[in-house]
Amino acid sequence: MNPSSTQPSHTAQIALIGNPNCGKTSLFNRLTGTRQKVANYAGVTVERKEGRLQLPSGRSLKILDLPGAYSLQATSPDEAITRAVCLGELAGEARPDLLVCVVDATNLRLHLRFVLELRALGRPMLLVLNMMDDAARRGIQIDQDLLSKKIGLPVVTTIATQANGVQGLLQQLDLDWQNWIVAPETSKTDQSQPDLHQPDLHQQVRELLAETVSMPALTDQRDDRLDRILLHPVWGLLCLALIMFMIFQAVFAGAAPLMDGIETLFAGISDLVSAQMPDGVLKSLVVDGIIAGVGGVVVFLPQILILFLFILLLEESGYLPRAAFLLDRLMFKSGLSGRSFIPLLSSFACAVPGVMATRSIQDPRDRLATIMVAPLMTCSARLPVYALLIGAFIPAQTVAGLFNLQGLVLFGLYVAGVASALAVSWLMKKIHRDRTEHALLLELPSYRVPSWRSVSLGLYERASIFLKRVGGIILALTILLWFLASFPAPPDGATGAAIDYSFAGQLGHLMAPIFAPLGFSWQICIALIPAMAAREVVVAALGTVYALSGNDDLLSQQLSPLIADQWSLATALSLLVWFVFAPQCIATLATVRRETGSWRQVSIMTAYLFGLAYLMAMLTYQAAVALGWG
Amino acid sequence: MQTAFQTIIQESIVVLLVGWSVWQVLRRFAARPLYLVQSRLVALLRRYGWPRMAAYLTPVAPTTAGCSQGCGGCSSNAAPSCASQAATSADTAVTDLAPSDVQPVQWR
Repeated sequence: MNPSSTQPSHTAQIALIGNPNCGKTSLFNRLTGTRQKVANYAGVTVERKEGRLQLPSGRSLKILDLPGAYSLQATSPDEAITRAVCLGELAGEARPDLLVCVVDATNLRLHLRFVLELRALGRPMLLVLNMMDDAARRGIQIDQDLLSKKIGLPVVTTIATQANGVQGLLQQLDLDWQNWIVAPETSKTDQSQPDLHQPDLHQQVRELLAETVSMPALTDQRDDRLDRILLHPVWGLLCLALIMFMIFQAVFAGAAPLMDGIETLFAGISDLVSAQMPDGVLKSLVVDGIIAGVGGVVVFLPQILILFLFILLLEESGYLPRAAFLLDRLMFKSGLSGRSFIPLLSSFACAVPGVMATRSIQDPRDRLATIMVAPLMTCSARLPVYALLIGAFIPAQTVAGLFNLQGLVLFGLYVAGVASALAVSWLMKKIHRDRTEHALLLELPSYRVPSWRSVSLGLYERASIFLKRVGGIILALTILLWFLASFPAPPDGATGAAIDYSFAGQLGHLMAPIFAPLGFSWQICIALIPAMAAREVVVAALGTVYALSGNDDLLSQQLSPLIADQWSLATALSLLVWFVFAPQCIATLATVRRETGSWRQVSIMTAYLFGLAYLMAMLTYQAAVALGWG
Repeated sequence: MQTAFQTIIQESIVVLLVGWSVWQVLRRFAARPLYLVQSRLVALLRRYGWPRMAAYLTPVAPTTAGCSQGCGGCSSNAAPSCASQAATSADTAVTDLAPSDVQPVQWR
């Protein structure tokens, strides 16, 4: 080791670095007290994150959480960020004072290689053996002192998921770590560039492991047993279909009592406010605008939480990469690769993180194809729209004595989104005449029993994000829509409903002929405009528009039975199909603009998705009318 | 029977709520133009001797869309957790992505 030097007086910056899925973000969360997203698969973190840590001594540190990387020879955009930070090449970012190299203690054979590569940079380094609880369960014994001696770096053990699992690391960070450097073995003078011609690192790792680690078995026997079923070409696919199917059944079957409770609560509030407030413009805003609009969206919180409960359980268990592996052949035939699975799955929550997660895809063609189809995945913002229409038009009956019909329809809509994404990517593959082979190399993590604390925290965050969104942008758009639907007041002697003379009413009537082939009424046309900001706003907008345009009898009803009275089944099906395809999300389009660096791709995406939405909704409506459902 | 005073109060509250809504929508969907307008307003206020008002209205630079934007898509959350251990204290944690971080992807 090099001689000690003085401790820096500025706020020191440390970087958490290591292979994907070794627990860097869990450690980051534990050290900084933040709640960045973690899951049991590679590629969750795709951008640099920053936090602060105050050590027991009172010293303050800046901590960077970097995307996982297998090597400094970056092959994907997320790895390029890690490389740039380590080498001090990122604009506006100082080179980290200490590299905290995190490795999965159960997977040292793979992870130590990157440690040796980083060691050659000649920067202060600390090796953290994480997931020591898993290592102990598997009977893996690591001679920590010998490993430290052999590798020339201090070694600490952590269990990032446990509250007291990082004490050793905190103590180490409080020491003077300026001398934790191994002098580079090469004669290179420029240490800013990684040495691509290091001696065989794999051989070095093998030698290190032989001397310092005792492993009863190379792989986890429990994982092997489970994989024999879950990765089986037939049983595995069957299990995957069953799991997905169960999720959508549960969304409808489990949420009903809670949704009824919320509906009753809002109806009570509406009655109370109507009785207590004097007539006037403020009462109209509160009752017709805020309660009818926002209340209509909040009702769907239980369904969203049930969906995310399952997604969080799958994320924590380590099953998702297995699903990617199972679907690789199908996705490859469609012009995607198994690596697209995780970004597309993230898009089921929201297309924004889904599009950003494509940074883990190495091939630019695969990455762009995934970005272009990500908005077709059914994001959680569509759920309130689907749930409203399914609840209104599909009877809650059991099929074959087992399946909930509403759940079946919801499952069908999700399948429609996936099928259309595969069809579009297949078409893109044909247009670009791409014949290159894209082999899937994917790391399968160990299965883990989901932590209930982590899942509960995830659900709590999901609920708070949804409610903040409702209380923020959805409330704001609902108030604006109420204003546009209430003013100007009808002229003297007007005979129609007041809303017909308002700004929104006039705009709705103007748009109605364009959407007439789709069976959309002028009220639906109005609701589609604020829904460009967020899809679920369509529910709030319909609530407000119908509250302002209906008579007293209609006002006494909830939105769901109200639209069941007013719309035909053909219109409802057409609107459902519209929302399968329409890119009604400005945030997604902005993210695509940033990731592709071009408005051209955004324009192509917007045009093809709106075109597809219009065409498919029109076909659905016309077919439904022909079947007598109009 | 409503008095004129009650009507004025009601209308004032409605105007405030509509104004707040416009502000929210602009802040979310027209962050950059709003930032520019607000910056010019602050500069004008400073020039005409309203430094306190200018300081109050000084805008925060808009961030790029991404995680922690409250899109509802992922659990990424910049707020510190109350569950952090006693030995550590979180001051801030931001998801900060400089433009140079992003590598645009194009068809080859």
